[in-house]
Amino acid sequence: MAIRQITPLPSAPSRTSDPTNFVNESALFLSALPSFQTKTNLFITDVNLIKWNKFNFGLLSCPISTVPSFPTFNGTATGTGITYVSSIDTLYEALQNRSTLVNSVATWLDNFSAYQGVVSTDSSKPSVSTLSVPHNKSQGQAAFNTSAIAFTTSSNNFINSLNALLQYTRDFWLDDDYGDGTIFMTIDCGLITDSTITN
Amino acid sequence: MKVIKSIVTTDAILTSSNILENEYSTWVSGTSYAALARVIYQHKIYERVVAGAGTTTPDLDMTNWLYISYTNRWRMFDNVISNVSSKVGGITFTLTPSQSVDSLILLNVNASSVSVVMNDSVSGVVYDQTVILSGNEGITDYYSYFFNTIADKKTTAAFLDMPRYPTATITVTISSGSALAEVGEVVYGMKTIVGRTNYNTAIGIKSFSRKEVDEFGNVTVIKRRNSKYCEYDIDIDNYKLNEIQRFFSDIDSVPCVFIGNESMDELVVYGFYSEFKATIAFPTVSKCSLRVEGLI
Repeated sequence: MAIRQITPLPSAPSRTSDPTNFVNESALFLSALPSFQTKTNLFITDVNLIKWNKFNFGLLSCPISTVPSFPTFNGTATGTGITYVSSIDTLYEALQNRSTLVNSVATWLDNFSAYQGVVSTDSSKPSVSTLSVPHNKSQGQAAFNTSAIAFTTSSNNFINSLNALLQYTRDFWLDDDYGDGTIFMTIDCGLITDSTITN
Repeated sequence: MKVIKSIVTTDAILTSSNILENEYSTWVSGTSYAALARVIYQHKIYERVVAGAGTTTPDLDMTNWLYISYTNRWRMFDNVISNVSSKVGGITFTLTPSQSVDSLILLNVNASSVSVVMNDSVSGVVYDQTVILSGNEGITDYYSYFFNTIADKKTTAAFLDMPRYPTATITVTISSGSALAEVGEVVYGMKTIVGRTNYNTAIGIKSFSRKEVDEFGNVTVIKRRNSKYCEYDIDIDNYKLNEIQRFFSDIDSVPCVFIGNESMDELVVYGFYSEFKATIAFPTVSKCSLRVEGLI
């Protein structure tokens, strides 16, 4: 089954660089977060269920640099109003940007999993963490802030754990799948470059 | 209290700008122009009053040509704060004053931020500062980020701590995202510290609009522009009094930026002083009043 893709977020609002459109853009952005959270978590479920090709296991040749790590600011930092606002602007811009890149990861993983084989359990394979429920305009101020910080933190964890998965590689002891006993072999966990190999 | 005596901007100083000067064609001597035709002559726009041709330049031929305004590129240097240079997506221009400049101020700015980079041919970038104009001081959490109204933006960006590099170029970037960026006046030069601004300083606005009441009591309002004025209360050390008096004599009828406090837009006035009066009130300090009439 193909990995379920997400709908990228709309343009990120920016109080500092585009205050004229902030009111409309912030409303659209906020209203898009619940759907974004739902679809991203479905994407994460699918990604976590992927089984690697037993003959080509390891670092994916997916361009991981296209999903850069997330800004660390999560809204609890202190500062003057302008500095604080600029940080949130940057944060949402990063989230919107990452939301447009996640689908390229899904597409690549689909290509890879088309010839996936069954491999032994790899308990050390990184798991991609899910997004928490986002903040929404029906919440009061305190609840809104709590949700926003939690959502931002989970976004940070999601992007970073996705990157960790994409960069994951290790030597792997593989069970024999021909039924005549268990043998072990060391897999060179290099880049997946062989598109012709089949299970 | 600081005063910046402005440098007159010339073609040699404004070495680049992303605002094109192509609103109209350039005036050509001897060419026949229709009535209401507009031309550009020496960065100013003129409109033809009566159809015809002539060899007298539009600035000297007031019978046939009507001055409209400076071109969009040059309006920011025209000494009229309310006439703005504008460009969608931001304005960038470079000044090469070929003399020391330690202060630059932009007035009547409509943008999100202003950056100034000073680049010396020998020392490289010697100054790089950005002023954020968005009014976001009240944003303290996510909730206020989303739901606070967009406060009025600052309209003045002051850079008063620039190093003195006479050969440096100054690149100014007025950013507004994808929106329209506007700037009314750009003033730069050397600042003179006059004294200390006191709490008795008064500000005001002089309106040029007219309200006329007819015989039936109906009010007709003719909206016109207005200008700021400020009556500064200043303390000046007595040992500097003679120097300051000579300075004010020197800037008589010269447009200057008067800065009571750079963090308070209302105390920044671009215009001419109309009266300077110092009372030697104490052995070491004089109490001074300075009235400045702002340009429109």
